Amino acid sequence: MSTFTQVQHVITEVLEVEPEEVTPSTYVLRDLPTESIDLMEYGIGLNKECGISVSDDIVFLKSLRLHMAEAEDNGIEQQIHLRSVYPHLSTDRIQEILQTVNAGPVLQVQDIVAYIEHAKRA
Amino acid sequence: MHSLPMHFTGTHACVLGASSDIGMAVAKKLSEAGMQLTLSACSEKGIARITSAFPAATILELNLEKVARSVTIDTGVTNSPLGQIQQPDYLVDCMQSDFEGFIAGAAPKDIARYFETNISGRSICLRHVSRMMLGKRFGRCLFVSSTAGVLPNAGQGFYAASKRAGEALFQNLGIELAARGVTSCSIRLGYVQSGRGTAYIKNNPEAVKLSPARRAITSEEAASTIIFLLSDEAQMINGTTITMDGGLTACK
Repeated sequence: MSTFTQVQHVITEVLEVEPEEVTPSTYVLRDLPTESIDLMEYGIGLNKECGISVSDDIVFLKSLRLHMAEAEDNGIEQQIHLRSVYPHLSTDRIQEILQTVNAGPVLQVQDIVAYIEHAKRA
Repeated sequence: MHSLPMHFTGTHACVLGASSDIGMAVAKKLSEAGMQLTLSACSEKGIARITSAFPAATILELNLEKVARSVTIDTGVTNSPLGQIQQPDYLVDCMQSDFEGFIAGAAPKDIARYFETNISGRSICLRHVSRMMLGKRFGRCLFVSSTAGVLPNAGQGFYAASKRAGEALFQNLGIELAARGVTSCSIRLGYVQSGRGTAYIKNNPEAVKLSPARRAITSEEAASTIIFLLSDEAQMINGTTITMDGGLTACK
């Protein structure tokens, strides 16, 4: 089973939605009826499904804005700082996140997949 | 005498502080009902007591102060004894370390250790267990509290604070997870003829007479009520604290 299918399964189980509604580019908090308590269940489900203990804070980009502000306060380029906090995300994806952050919560299903694959490789 | 049936969806119960008299009485009833048991104690004596009484149970030496300290240095819970608690359906928290002292008189180190055990350690343990329950969308958690939480007594400030904190934690858990099948409540016991209560009642016999019932609660009575609160029939008793004190706190 691919990592995407595992993540998709966890999300559909928690939200009781159809698999077609969960694609790699689906925004987890914008396109799906995800509440904060659901994120906790995703974390538990990912642990069970993938055998990986996830950091909810990192995998769900919970403190993204805090880290952006941190970079600004310390005079570090946001792109570089976020890459160090979220090593599972590619430079292109971080660039995209920075460009769309004002449109709403940026977390996409592909970001969770990237985290799990990164953890599996580690 | 008539008896009415109670029903239990779950099959596995974890009792923290199981070597206490109330913990032992609860574990005995659960064991007799055929429940799989995980029992914890924090001392060698306690471990020996529960091992001897419940040879089929999973026994856990659980020092919540160590648990609290280990996570602050980021070793996580998987390396701690908490990792040995496997998928319980029920949690009965009877754990309470012993410490009395005046607020202005207690040693700062003792205060910190006491709260690490009874608040931080308890919170981390509750987090660990409730996440497992959430994963299977079923669980029932019960905290054994005390009327000392609402009837102040000189020297019992830290004990009272930790009991009130425990009630708040279990209350919040029930509020946060009830929609996902995990419910929780506390039982606030008055004078109990068991453990430390026995010595207190012996030294302060007039205290029990303040209760309208004019007697202390037995471990057996406390355990029976706890078992009822764990049952399917009591699951809507959620996010709250039930008082069982013979009417003590109802009086002026």
